[in-house]
Amino acid sequence: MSGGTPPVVRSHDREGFEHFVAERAQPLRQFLLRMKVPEHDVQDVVQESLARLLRYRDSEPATAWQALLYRIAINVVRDRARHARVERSVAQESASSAIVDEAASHEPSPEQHASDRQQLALMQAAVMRLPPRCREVYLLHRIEGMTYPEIARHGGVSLKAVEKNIARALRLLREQLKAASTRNHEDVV
Amino acid sequence: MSSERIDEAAAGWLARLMAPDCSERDREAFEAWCAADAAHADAFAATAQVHADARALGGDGWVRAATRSAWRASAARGRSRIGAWPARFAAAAALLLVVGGTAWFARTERPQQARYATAVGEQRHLELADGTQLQLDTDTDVIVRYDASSREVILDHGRIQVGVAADARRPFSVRSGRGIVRDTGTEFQVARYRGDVRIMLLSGAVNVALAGREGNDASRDLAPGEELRVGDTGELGWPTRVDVDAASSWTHGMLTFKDRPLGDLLEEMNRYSGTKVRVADPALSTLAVSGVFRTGDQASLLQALKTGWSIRAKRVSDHEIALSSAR
Repeated sequence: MSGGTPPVVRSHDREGFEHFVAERAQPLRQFLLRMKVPEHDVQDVVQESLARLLRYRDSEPATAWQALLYRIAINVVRDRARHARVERSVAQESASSAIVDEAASHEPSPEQHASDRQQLALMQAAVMRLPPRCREVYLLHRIEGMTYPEIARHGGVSLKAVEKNIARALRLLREQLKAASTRNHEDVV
Repeated sequence: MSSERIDEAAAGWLARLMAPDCSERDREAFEAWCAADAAHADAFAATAQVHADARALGGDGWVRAATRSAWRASAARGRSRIGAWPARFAAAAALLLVVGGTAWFARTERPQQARYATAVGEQRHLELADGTQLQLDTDTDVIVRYDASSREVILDHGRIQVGVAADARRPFSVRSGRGIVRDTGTEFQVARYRGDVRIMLLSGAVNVALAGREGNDASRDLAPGEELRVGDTGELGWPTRVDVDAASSWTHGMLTFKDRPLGDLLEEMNRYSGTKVRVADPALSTLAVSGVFRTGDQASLLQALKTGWSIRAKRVSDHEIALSSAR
């Protein structure tokens, strides 16, 4: 390899993942019921959510799985609702089934969504605009793959400070990307 | 709640859910918040999507450089706040410090020491302050000791591959068991299981000596593609040729075997798993096998043995699988 670093070797925590899935399936059912998912749909949503989560098993650390699972489950619920709406409107207006397909495949693959170059450039700019400490902690967590305790030990700061900086980074990134997409939308209009 | 407040809460929840001390009660509170308003769940999903997308930045040179500088800046503040590193690392060593990714040591006159370890099934890649690349295989424990005049890595057990960055002022060496490997800017592997040490040279040149007998003529030079064993009781072997590609495939998460005894293959694969595969029939362990296996992927190994060699696997306990001939 010329000058660069060798590929980072990631551990493939299969047993840990299976354990996580076994442990979280029941709580996920409870969560979906709370989210007013009809009881006869809950099992399907659980199945689909866990199947989608599987794609991230090797690429995301175990500490990220819980949050990922929530995000995926919320997306699955939204997709199904949208799908149902489109199907109804398709039945009414006999529109093309392409709309249905498009609406059904909302969950992006791990790489797909962000491989969009423009999205990546926006993201890069947003990260670079974060306040220094906040950016440091976020990069060590997201890019370097360090856990909160590792970052805390490394920088000699408290765990709470690490978490606060992560939260702040997430809020600022979302804010900036939201503003950017609104701008883009206005450009088009 | 205004949309800004909702976004702020969503970010806070995401950060909490990724914390190692996130409790059942935290999750409960998060779920209640999420269920309270569709806008809450949507804000959370959108924030989590941004976080997921940020991962793709790992391939961006600019962001990687910023991450390295974050490492240094954070470590520098950590030092000034808590005091000298050696003391911190002495304490950390007792806790089995595990650091992921790129490790940087600032260049100071004080000796600096860090301990790195991997769990069974885990592999890690580290970049040290001088640019030296250190890859740790499963179940490995090393101490890295750098000072103004020397760079030393001590391998207690496991396997490492080292790509040494040239530094004429500070010689680089690896100590393991009774073996000392001295290096002059090259790439090599050191493995230690049950006392014996194996040194394999990929490129450049190294000299292997016996610990406690430095300066003596008890040392050997290795050429690229050669391997040498140092026994736990101090026997220094002679270099033998090895297949370098096969021997370094573990650094890419693979194990490559070409006509090697099944017993060796199982020993290697077992290092990556809490569940051990053993032969019920001793004659099987000398069977010659070939193949490329993903480290830790026991299921594929068992499938390959079944289809290729008619070997049957049976789970005999929670942590043991026994192999026997199907015929």
